[in-house]
Amino acid sequence: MDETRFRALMHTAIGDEPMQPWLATTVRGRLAEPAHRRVPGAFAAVATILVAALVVAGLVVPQLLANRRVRVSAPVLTPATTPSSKLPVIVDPSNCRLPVTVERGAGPPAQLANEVGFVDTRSGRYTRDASASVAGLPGRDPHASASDVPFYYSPAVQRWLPVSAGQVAPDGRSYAWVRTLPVGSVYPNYKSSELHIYDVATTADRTIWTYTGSINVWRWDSAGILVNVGPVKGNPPPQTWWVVDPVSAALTRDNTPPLMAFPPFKPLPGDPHDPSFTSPGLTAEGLTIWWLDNLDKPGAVDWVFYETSPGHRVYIYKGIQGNATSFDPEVALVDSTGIWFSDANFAAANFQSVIWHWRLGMGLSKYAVSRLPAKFKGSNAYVLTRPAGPCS
Amino acid sequence: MGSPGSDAYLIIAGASPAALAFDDEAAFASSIEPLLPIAFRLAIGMLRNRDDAEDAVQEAALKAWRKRSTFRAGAQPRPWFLAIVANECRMLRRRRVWLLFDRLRSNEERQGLPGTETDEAEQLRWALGRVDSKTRLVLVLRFYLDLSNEEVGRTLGISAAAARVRVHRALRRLRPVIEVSEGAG
Repeated sequence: MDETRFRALMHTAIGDEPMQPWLATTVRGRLAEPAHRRVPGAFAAVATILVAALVVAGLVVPQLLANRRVRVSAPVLTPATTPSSKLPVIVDPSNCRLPVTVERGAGPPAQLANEVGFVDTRSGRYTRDASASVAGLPGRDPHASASDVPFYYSPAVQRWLPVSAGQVAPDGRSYAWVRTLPVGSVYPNYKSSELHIYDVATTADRTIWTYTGSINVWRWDSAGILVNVGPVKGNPPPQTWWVVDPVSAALTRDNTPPLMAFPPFKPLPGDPHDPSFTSPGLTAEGLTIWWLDNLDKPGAVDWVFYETSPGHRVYIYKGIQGNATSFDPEVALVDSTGIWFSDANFAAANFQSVIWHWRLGMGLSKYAVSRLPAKFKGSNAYVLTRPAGPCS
Repeated sequence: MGSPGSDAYLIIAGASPAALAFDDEAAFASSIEPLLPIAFRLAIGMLRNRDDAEDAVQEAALKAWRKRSTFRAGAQPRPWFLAIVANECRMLRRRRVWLLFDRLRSNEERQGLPGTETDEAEQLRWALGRVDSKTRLVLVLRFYLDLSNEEVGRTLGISAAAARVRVHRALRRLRPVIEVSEGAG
């Protein structure tokens, strides 16, 4: 969904309870009280004791927890035996050209720049594609600023595209995009949406579905184009999921949208209690990759896996936060070689820009990227490299 | 009492409120009053409880007065005050051993989730209860209070670029529940 729609959902989720007028009166009254200017002696004494207790607890408890976590999760790169992906390995991931987007930022004062290019995985060298352009291609985000860059490179048509990987056809020659109507209208003022398929090679654009409401494209794979649709506005907007045949435009109702199912994965014995998790993306089979993460807690589990069925996990990585491997997957992109990951720890002060690659049977590999544009001079400077298309 | 033209009355163009008065408590209370509704919304977003949010706003207003020397002339009052509110929410969570309650609440909400229904708001509420407070703060500031990245940055004491990175990462953390295609700005 787009950001404006997400905002509406945030309001629904949190609620829009108005502030009661008495609160302002109370604030005014409390500010006027002389008592607020000093801390009572008895309270100060209690507070001192509490602070001391908290300091002790703060020093001891995390250590205990960290020790427990270390015992639970020793860092082990998961051995793998047989490939599960049905995609044949026709490209050597250690010797191919990987399209990437490069984002540089720093501040204050705020600085931000994006560009695209390719990483030679054999040498790790990055080369900017100065001629990259999505001019003339439909489907560009109407809110995108002029500084925005292409999202995806298709070797099949040798072009950068203005859409995300999930919108591109498996053969890389077409992509799905949505036009809101009336043309030029944006949320919440549009009335209906058109699902289009644009053939990059022939420049033919087809409208395959017009829906009174919104259409969001999630994924295009061999089964078709997975979309969800619903009213433009709602509280909350009800959604239904469909697979659209890109040739016949036939619709098939999908009752098992992959990223919306709960619980997201089956807890197993040995899992951390109440883990923090996120997903960098999907496998080639459309299975959700999970990352049990907690970047702020050295010693916490750092597991990356997907489930082939409930409770049957394939671990891409099993380690602990803060260890030497430091695999922190941010965005996953699937190609015939396996899965490419950007690194979520890019904001770290000493971060060396890397790309990760994983394939069942081959394990996890780290590619340091060199010759990137220089970091901005300023505080909090970073350079983030994200995979942006199949390695070829 | 502060008045336009006195040294203690800061005129801030384009902000809400237009001015903060630091002459005395009464003047300060008057000038900060327009900020209380958004402060309350921030507190509700962070604490998910009306009573606690009201407590947090009251305490934040008192601390804002005590910390008035930290307000730089020419700065915008809204991020300054929201930062104090956010900190007060964090303190309130600690004082009430909030993590324990939060975990229990999350478990209750998880049990209450429909198995196959895709009630996005319910799932988002559940997810917001699970993410760490830093992530929740970023999401509330950016997408509930509708602040710009620049103002999110000022509230967090970081650059707009760094705020944009945090927003991106916060959205990634929601990805198991919901995927948001990020626009510009």
